[in-house]
Amino acid sequence: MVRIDLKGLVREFTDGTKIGPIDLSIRDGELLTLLGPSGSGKTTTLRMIAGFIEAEEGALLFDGRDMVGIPPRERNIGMVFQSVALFPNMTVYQNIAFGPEMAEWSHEKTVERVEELADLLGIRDLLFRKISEISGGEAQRVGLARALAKQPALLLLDEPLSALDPQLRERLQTEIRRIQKKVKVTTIYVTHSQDEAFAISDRVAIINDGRIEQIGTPEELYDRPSNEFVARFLGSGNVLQGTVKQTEGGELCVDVLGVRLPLKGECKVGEEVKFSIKPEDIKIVIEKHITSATGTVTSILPQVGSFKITVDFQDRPIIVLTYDEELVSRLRENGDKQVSFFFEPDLAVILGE
Amino acid sequence: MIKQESWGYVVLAFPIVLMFIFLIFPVSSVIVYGLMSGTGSSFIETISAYYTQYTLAFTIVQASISTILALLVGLPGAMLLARLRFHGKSLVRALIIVPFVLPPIVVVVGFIQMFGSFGIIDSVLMFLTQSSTSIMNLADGVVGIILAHTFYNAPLVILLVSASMERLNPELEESAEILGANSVSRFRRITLPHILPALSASAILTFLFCFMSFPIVLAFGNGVYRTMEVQIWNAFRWSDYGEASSLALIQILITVTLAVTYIRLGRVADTDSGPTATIQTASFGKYKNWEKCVIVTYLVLILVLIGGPIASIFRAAFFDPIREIYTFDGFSYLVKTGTNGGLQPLINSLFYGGLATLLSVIIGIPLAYAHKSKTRGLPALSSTMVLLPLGISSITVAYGLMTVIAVPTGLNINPWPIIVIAQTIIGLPFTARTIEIGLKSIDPNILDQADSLGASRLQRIFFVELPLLVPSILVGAVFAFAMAIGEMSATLFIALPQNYTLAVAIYDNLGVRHFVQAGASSLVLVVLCIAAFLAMEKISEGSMGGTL
Repeated sequence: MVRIDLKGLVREFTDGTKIGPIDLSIRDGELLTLLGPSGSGKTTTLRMIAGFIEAEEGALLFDGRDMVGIPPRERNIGMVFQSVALFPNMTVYQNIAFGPEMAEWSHEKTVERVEELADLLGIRDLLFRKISEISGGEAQRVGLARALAKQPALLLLDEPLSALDPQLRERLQTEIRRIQKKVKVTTIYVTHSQDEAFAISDRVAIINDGRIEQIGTPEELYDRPSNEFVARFLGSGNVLQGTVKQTEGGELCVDVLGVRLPLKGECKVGEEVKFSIKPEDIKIVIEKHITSATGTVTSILPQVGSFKITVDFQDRPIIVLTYDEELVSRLRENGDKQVSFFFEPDLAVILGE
Repeated sequence: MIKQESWGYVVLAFPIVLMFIFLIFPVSSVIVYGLMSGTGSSFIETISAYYTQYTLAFTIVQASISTILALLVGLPGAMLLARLRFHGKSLVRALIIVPFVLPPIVVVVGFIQMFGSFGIIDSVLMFLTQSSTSIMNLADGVVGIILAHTFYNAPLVILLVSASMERLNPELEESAEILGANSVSRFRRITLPHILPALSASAILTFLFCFMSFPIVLAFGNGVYRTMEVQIWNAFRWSDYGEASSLALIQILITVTLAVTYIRLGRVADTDSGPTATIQTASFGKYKNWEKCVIVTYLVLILVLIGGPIASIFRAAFFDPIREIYTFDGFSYLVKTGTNGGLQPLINSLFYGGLATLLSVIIGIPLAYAHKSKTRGLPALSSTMVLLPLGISSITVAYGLMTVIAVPTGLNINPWPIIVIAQTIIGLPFTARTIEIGLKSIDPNILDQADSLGASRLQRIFFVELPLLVPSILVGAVFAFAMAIGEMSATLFIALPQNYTLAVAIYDNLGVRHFVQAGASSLVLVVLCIAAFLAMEKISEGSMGGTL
């Protein structure tokens, strides 16, 4: 319904924290998530888009129209806050009808819209309840219905599920996704949970220290983190550092703590490189190979469908995921806990700054 | 074990029994006695008298106007305090409670000096118009009464309402904003419903205080304008016990109803809590120009109305408006012994106040514990005891004590113990409530910890609970002291000239137009009260709002 462009948006606070410059485009009808650790500036960015915080520099374009200086109520936005912030002095119906009422819709149109949304979200039975009489999950649905009531061009969701228990959270993620696709509203979602971001988004923008580190689909981000922060934050990262010793037609040989590991990429000899390798891409063998890296197994944790093995590689923990039960039982019997590990050169990703 | 329990009951019952002996019994028997004995007017005569109806009407009307004015003055202040971000906010918040701890008679002196004839504003006007006679006197009559009541209660409104406003989740207002509500609809639909309980509570409290107001009405009413309270005192002076008792009965019915309503509302207000840390504030620069004008105008108004009288007390201590000179006569009065000197009242004030403080604490601690007791009925009984003095006026308390306790025991020859008892009863709600809040805030885990380490109940109280309670007890004590030295109504009612406290002496001096003597005495009380207030702030670290 609307395309959003953030161009060099900057905001500095009196306490010295600085957000931006942020450049970001959200496509029409897309669900984009701002993902980052707490204090990274994702909520501030969202509040700049909403208009609660003025940007000091840069442009904020809704379908090409600059929004800086326009008050939040005139931006045609729906928003669900972290605390959901339902009006406690009103019923569920009155909450959802608040936006249409402010826009002076006719009574018939308002009722029709509220009922339509109530059906969409399965909260029809709750319409005449007080806010104190509904559960946390129901409150989230009401909050979403209230935000959508006026048919906003843009929907902003600020960690709306963070207060819910994991099961309910998962259910509502799917629901938000379904409703967003159904009403096709451009949506920006803020969360600090990678699982939530990946479950819900078309694209994810990773924010750190007030800047966007990388934007892409969940798959792109997971498979190809562009820098160390993203690799580590997404948890895909065993990040290692080494010196390039040899190059030959895109094939590198990197010295990591005295062990030579093969990688692929365009680098010069003598250059320091950082690279990440996903836990599931590392193979472990008990037989020692002279050429490959060796380490000591320090823990084996069973997980759903796999085992998480931590290998101590010269005081650096390397996380390995394996599905091989036989290997695990042999590792458990293995006396000196020494193992060798290696990976396919093209599965490691060389990280930028 | 059983022995310990009964010991506990004795301690918890002790303050309740005392309150029965010194409050409920005297007040109820004086009313019954006054109505039955046939001295003076009967109940029917009293309520059908035109004068009673006029007094009742005047009491209600002045209290209503004062309440409305206090709300009108207080509400913008509450909004500013909650929303405006500025340096020294915590200081301002702390200072706002100052008018509330000032004795009413001192406020009278400050008002006369600020708004009265030859007062500060009058002097400026006289200078501007080059007039040699007084132009304006606002510290008199109905205007004076209402202004002084507004002075007293607007800070109360500011404090209670701003606290409620700060509990409003800012995301609620943002939700409304993003849903298209402008500032007017946001206030009407979101903010107002949220602060309504606090607003009503402060309105009722204000009305209650104005309804039972005595010193201000006595001083500014000149005998022409009388509230019920003043009329009870008057009837007693003329030995019309029938009328005094009838009026006391009517007054109690009204005030107790209001006090109960206030408590009910307070319970509603207590339950709504939200994040206070994220309250949205804006610095002054963020406001539009016209908004800045409004804010500045308001602040000037507040400064004149509330800051002015307090500051004027300093002038009142030195400036004699009759001779129009600055003098130290007021201070030489304060060190003068003998019947016309101010030394005896000063000593009386400190002596009675000190005793009342001690008693308040001794009674207040078990009363607070009784409120927490699990024994059925005990908490309700103790909170009734704490609340009753709020609903029964000082004059009624004094009337009861004088007639039922002092006269039969012969204490009316030198009724100083009665003064101490009255001052204790009047200050007790504040002391007990402060201690009760302190008790509530003790982490029960700590007590369980003491139990698990093998402490006996007595050891637990003396080594764990009481040390944790010390700050609250100190604050309660200082509160009691401030109330006691400022108390004028009951003291005036009971005291013979040798028992006059400083507060009564101020009234006395005003009556004979000894303005500097009254001013200097007021300054002493102000300094004592501000010192008390600073001590409270220091001890409680700014968490005093809950006491009200």
